[in-house]
Amino acid sequence: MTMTMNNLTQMTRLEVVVPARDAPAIRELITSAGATGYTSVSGVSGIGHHGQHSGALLFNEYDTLTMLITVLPPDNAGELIDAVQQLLSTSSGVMFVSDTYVSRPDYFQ
Amino acid sequence: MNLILRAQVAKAAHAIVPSWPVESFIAVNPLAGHEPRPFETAATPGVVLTRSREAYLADADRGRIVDADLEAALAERVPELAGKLTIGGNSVSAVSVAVLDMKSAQWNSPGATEPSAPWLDEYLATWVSSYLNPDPLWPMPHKQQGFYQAWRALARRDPSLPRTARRTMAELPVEPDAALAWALVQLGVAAEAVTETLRAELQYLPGWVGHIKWRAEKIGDIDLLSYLSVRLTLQAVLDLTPLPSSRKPLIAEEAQTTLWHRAEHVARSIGGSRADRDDIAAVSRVLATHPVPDHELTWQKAYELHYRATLVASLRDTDPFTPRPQLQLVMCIDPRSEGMRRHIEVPPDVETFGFAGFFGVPVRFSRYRARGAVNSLPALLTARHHLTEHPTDPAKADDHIMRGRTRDALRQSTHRADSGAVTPFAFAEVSGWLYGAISVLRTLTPTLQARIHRFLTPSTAALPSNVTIVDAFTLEERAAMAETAVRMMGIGQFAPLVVLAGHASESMNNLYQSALDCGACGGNPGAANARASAAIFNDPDVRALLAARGIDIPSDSFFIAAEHNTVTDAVTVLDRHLVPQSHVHAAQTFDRAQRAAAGRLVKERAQDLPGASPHSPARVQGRAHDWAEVYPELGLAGNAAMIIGPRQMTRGVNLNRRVFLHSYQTELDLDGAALETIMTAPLVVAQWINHQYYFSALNPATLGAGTKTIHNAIGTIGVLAGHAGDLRRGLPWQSVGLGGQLFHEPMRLTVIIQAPLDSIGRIVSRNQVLRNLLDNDWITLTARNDPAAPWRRYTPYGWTAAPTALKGT
Amino acid sequence: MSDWLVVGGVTLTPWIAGLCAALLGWAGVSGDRAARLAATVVGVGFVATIVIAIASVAAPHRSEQVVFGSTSVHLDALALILSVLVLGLSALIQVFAIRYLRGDLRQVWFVVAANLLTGFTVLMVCAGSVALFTVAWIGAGAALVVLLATYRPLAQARDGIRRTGSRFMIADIVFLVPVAILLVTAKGDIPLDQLGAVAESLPLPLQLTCAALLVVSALARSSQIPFQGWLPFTLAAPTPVSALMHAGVVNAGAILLIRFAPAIAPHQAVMIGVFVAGAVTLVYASAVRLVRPDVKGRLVFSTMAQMGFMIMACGLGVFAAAIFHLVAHSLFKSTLFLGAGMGVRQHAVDRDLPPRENYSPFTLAAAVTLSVLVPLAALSAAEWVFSPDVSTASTALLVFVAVTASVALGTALNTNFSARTFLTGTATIVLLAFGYVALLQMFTAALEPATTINAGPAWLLALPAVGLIAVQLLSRNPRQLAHLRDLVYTRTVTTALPRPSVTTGVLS
Repeated sequence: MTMTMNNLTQMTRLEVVVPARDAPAIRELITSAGATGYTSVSGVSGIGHHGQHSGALLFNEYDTLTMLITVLPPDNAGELIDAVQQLLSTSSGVMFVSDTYVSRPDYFQ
Repeated sequence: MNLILRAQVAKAAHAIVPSWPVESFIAVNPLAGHEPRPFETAATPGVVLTRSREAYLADADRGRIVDADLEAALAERVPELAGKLTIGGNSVSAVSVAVLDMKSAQWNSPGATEPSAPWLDEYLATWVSSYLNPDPLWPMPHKQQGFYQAWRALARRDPSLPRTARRTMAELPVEPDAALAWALVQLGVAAEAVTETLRAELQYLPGWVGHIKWRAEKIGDIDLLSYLSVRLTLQAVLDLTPLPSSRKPLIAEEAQTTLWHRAEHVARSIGGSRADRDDIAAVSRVLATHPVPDHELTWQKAYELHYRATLVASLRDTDPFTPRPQLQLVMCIDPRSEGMRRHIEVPPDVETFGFAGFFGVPVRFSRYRARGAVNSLPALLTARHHLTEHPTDPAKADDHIMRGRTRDALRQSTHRADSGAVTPFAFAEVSGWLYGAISVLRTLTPTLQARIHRFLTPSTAALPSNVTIVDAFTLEERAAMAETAVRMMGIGQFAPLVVLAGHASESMNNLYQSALDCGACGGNPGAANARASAAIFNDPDVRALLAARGIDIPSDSFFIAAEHNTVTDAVTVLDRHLVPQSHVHAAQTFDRAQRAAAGRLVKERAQDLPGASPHSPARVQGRAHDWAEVYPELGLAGNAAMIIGPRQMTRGVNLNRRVFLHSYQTELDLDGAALETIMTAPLVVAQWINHQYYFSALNPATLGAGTKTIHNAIGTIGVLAGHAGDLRRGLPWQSVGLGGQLFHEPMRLTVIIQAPLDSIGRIVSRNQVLRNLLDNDWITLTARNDPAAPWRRYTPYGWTAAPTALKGT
Repeated sequence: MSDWLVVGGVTLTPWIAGLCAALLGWAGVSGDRAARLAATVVGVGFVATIVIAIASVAAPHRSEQVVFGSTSVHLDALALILSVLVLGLSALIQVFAIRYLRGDLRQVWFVVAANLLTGFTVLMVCAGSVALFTVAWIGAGAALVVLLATYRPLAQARDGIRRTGSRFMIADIVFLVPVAILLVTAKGDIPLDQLGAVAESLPLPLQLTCAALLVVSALARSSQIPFQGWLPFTLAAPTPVSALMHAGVVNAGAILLIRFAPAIAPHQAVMIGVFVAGAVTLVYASAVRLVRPDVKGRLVFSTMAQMGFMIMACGLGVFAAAIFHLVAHSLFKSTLFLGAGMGVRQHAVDRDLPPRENYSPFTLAAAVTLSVLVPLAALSAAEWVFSPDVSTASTALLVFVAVTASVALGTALNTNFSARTFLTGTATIVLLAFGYVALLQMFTAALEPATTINAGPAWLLALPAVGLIAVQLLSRNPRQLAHLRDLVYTRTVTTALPRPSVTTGVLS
């Protein structure tokens, strides 16, 4: 594990934006990968490959987009990234992977 | 954990539609997985998209489909069909040539087939149902370890499996991931073929697979990974190669009439013997644009266009009236509300509205000190607020609980005596006489039996209580819900009495009772939500906040909740103890009005209800208590359209209880937010229901549940047809047909909106769900800016003129 | 002349009903009309039979019969009781089916087949001679197969027909052998009251063979081991078919045993065989029932177990008790079948009930004590009032009742320990206990056959009792017996499954 600036620990951060109805499958993968937690933002809006997406819908949580964010040690991230990639290869959704730095690494292991 | 394999399972299951348990029946489009693609590509083996050629021809004979409908349908589907041609000296349009061809060309529907039950399916269905058994008399050992693990521990003791297989099973991996991976290797499935193989395996037992997908998300005691582990491990152990899809591929059963023959036939029918080879060649060039496999969907389109044009022509263009109404009644968008609204609106000072039956109050509801709760909200939402009841009279409440406990004790004791191993023999002997007497009463005099039952066990609903809106929601949430409701419904002024009527269906011995309840309340009765909504609107703090937001509810306006019983058509006022003295008279006036309306409506419904007669309305209402009745009511059969707009468009028009009516006024929704909510929620729910009826009607054996008369319940999860097999999906035959005839006309939902076209277009373009449905022809959309503007039809390329009314029936 | 009228009134209405329905169906009249007419006609037959039954209670020593030579239709007490039951249930189920099968394309088929079955069954219970009984017996079996064909287009229904038909055919052929032997010996039909004499005239080995073969066909009709493989596969027929079948046809085994008792009961070995078959089926079906997840599957195996109980009672020679069980169970099971769609509603009712309370061990002990004492006291009092002297076998069966009542009351008090529950429970138990003992006493007085009975000893009852208790214990998933528990559970879950066909993986 790399220690860098200000005693922070390097981790891998995954952000996945998928239709809400596909979110349970992603959540299941995240927990199976041993991530200790995730953040779920429902009703995210934007413009992308499939055109425009309005944000939160008042009476429909099912046809909106959900963003799932999780942070886990780089060693564990690889398989999850492959798995999410596999899952998104045929359905709509995007994944962003980046390095991130956390102050309490024990929270994420 | 094998994440890649888990992802592959999830990918293979992507298009599978989760299916809700029958106790909270949620109508879904069984082919929802195909919605991102054109409707006509959704046919799969065993599933048809249209009726038979004979059915359409019969409709053409009786004027249900006229030539103009066919021409309009062709114009939509085959735009290149234009111009004229001369045959044997007669000048005819290309479209009419195509119409003639449609009436003469032969095609056969593949015909929905009964699902086959290979041994493997029967085996898995047995184990899955035993594992999920909701009320087991003998719970499956090892159940808490999960489906695969429990099966692994038990199946190796199964004497019906070969000895060698049992030996192998003792050494299977402990985890489902590992077992599935092992099985895939064992079966020789190449790495790149894994997802495809899994997808193919998930085609079998679609009922259980859909339920497992639902269950994995909502309950979590089983998932498709463990299901597939068992399925493939067993195949590996028994050395069964995964079957290539045993379902027969779609094949035309007879050789298609060749293009030339079609052309010749059409040319001769126009030009007689004068039609020569060139004429036939010209005709064949026209017909080549509309090949026979496209005919069925053109017929279906024409069938729908006829209804749509008639419906649009019946709508009114009058301006809204202005005097303050004396009574307002808000009902669910459910097509069944249309009948009640039409009959109660006879005096001009009665105004009605359509709104989603959960009244914008999404709750998990439990009765006073009840041990269970229901999610009384649309399936599109997650329950976040818990609503319950607070009794007004503590003494009555105590007595109520005491009675409930005794009732529980007696039920439990009969259950235990009947379900033990030792006790059922003497129990049957001693109590059989009592059962026999009950049987006689229930069969010969169901209404009397119901009265006796009610006397002995008063229902929970009888306890006077208030719903706990203050505990369930913050003031801000309550005000927001009220504002949303007002803006969505477009209520501009408030009557002294506003009745919010949810709806519920009452039937006996009906496993599908929930399919007749309110779809917007998750297949539950809508009373709780109506009560909560009325309480919110009567809350002075809420009214103060609303006033600040420009919605003025006069202090003399009082909201009461009611429940529309869709079998008896009684609209019962709830929480009567809350009605202030000043409004007692108005409430009584409402009671009288609704009783008269119910009388008329029941007679109207009796004309369509199998076995009913308008001369004996009491018998129609008595079906609520009749345990022998398989047609307690027709539910949403016939549903075909949804109208979003002010009631002035439809007031006084008989829509035959076929239309979802959502009230809407552009003036109260300047930013279009309410319209977006309507189009992304009530419209989507209406579409789910519409497609559930559509496909259950066309495919009773595969996508529908088949006849109720052989249904065999697995607790409250679902039903089997007969002693074994897959869980049935969709609606039973008794919801859509009688004998061999459909009474539900399967038509894709026609949506009609009165609102600015550009805001409608904007909403469609930013919601993928709407783009999928509209651009792929799963539903159609016709709209106008205002009463003065012409009707326009939505196409992926912009708005175009809508076909006008056509002759016929 | 009046005998003709009376016997015709009891036996003919289902035939008239079936014929009318068939004619109407043939003439293209709606199924609804045919069903209404048929149900009315059978209903009239039921009322007539009730009147005749009451009249015969008033004048008990004169039972009506119609005689052709040695063949006869004879309305004795058993015939009247069972005719009332069969006609009543048939009429009730047909009334139910008028609405339940509304518009069904196979409604007329159902009505005709149901009346055919009812007609043969009534004829069977009223048959006064061996040949007539045999005809009615085979006819009832065939009519059942026809009834099961109501939904013949369904693959599952055809499977059920195949299984039922083949087993009935074997059993009926087996049945014809002893009947032929008896008829040849007597050189003609044998009135049932002379059956004993004819049977005794045979050499002993032949007597035993005849008795054993008669028993075999009774076991097949009541879905007893080793003929259990048809009843669970008959659910692809509409619910009223199941109700009629579980209330009527499957009981026929006991009727055969009773009618042929003069040829069977004198042989203790055969009677023990009957007992064992019933007892084994009882334990087996009780275990399978516990693991079935589907409501109708539970009812099927419950019927099978109940039939085991009834056959077992026959083996013990308490025929009246067996008939009593038959009647009560018919009413019980037909009600449960017709109401097989109540589950969702009941679940909704349960959801609204208040949560249960936890009680202290002291309260629980009090509940247990009360629940043992009250039923014992009620039953003893009832016995003392109505039938001071009872046989050992009857006493043993009474123990079942006492245990059941204790379990019921104990469960009620454990769920809610309150005066209201105690009083309601006690009142129900006292009422049911007195009603039960009084009715049983009436049945015994009316039905005890006048024949030599060499029944199995009553202590044999301990065997099924131990079996049932073992099943009950295993179903609690005890850790100590994990191996045995897994074995029994798996065996019962897969009992109705065919074996895998390893070559293709597809069940042919």
